[in-house]
Amino acid sequence: MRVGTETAGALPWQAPAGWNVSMTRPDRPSGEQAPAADLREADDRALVEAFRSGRRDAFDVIVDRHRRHVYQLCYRFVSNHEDASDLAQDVFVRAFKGLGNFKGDSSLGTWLYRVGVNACLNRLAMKKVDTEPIEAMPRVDDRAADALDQVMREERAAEVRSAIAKLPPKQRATLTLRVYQELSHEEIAQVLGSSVGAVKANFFHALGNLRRLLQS
Amino acid sequence: MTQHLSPQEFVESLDSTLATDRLDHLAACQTCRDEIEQLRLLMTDVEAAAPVPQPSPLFWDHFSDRVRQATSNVEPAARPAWWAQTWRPLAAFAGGLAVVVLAVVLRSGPGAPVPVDSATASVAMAEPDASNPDELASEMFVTIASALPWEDVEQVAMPRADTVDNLIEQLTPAEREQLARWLRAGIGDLE
Repeated sequence: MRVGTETAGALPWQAPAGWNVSMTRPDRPSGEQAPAADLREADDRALVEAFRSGRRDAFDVIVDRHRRHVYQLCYRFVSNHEDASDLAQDVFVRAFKGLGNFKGDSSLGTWLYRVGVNACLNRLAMKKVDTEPIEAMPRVDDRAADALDQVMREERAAEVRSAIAKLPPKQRATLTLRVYQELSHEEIAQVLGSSVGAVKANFFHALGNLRRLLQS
Repeated sequence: MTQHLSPQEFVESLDSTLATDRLDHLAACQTCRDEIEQLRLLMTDVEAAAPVPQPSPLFWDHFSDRVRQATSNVEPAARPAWWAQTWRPLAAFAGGLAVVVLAVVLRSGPGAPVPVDSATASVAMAEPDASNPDELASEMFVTIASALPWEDVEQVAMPRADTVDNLIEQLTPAEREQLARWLRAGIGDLE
């Protein structure tokens, strides 16, 4: 295990007085080195260049930097941690293989979203992802004054998630990227390889279909 | 009353980027306003629907390790060789040139063959006929394309599937009219 950019530092544990203990995260396996400081400070473009020139540790920094967004995207499609985690790993393995062909026309983040959306849509096409049962809603503290409100909100949220899962793949991807990942229409067009006009139309039709699904 | 908002315009209205001239329609049209209100309510539902649970910090370290292990035996794709990067722009350039030549031939129409001796032909290749706008356009295309980096030429000469849609969307109504006239004239010539 290594010290990443997001989790650097010792564990928050204080040794009792008199103990001579150094409590830090375990080191990487022997033979591996933490990415050099210059890479951690480098921008994405420089990381891609470093990776292409043979520095594999540059890819570690890319993973550290983008893993949360990629995981979130995957979670939106599969709705459970285990699958999202596997899928996010798959996205980075694909990215590792394909980074040599990355042209730099878009940002690295947008390109990773593109790889991610393709991986998610492939997964959905290959495997019926278990949809979330209504019973799987978080437990609600029924002592709370607004417990009923919260139950209703959770029910509605589960209905909406279920309806989103039934949208056609491209509409679902557009909606997810726009609403949850907060990408602009232009960025979504780059991710999906379509025009901005098509993205806007897709988004509108996604909302229309969602409304019909929720009414039915 | 003007036309109702299009799907794209509804989305632009949600984003508060609707064109000013369409805002006038929106102000006057209850139907469009109701539709936007419903879309807004739906967006609120969608936004509230999908919180992603945050995995623990330990998960992230474990995740990075997993990715590293999964890629440890994988060879990243090498950057394509220069010739592999060049053949596509070259093919694109040749294709673009062929399109221009074809357009010139189609527009000039069938004519009686004119005998030319080799000396005249070489002069004609070297210097475009200033009185012929098609030839000048072709020459200009070749000159510009020759001066551009291959990647730029590729961008122009190898459009993606939706590039034409994009371009047409950017045209003004008058330009679209003109394009339609050209297309009709071109199709008529071919028929």
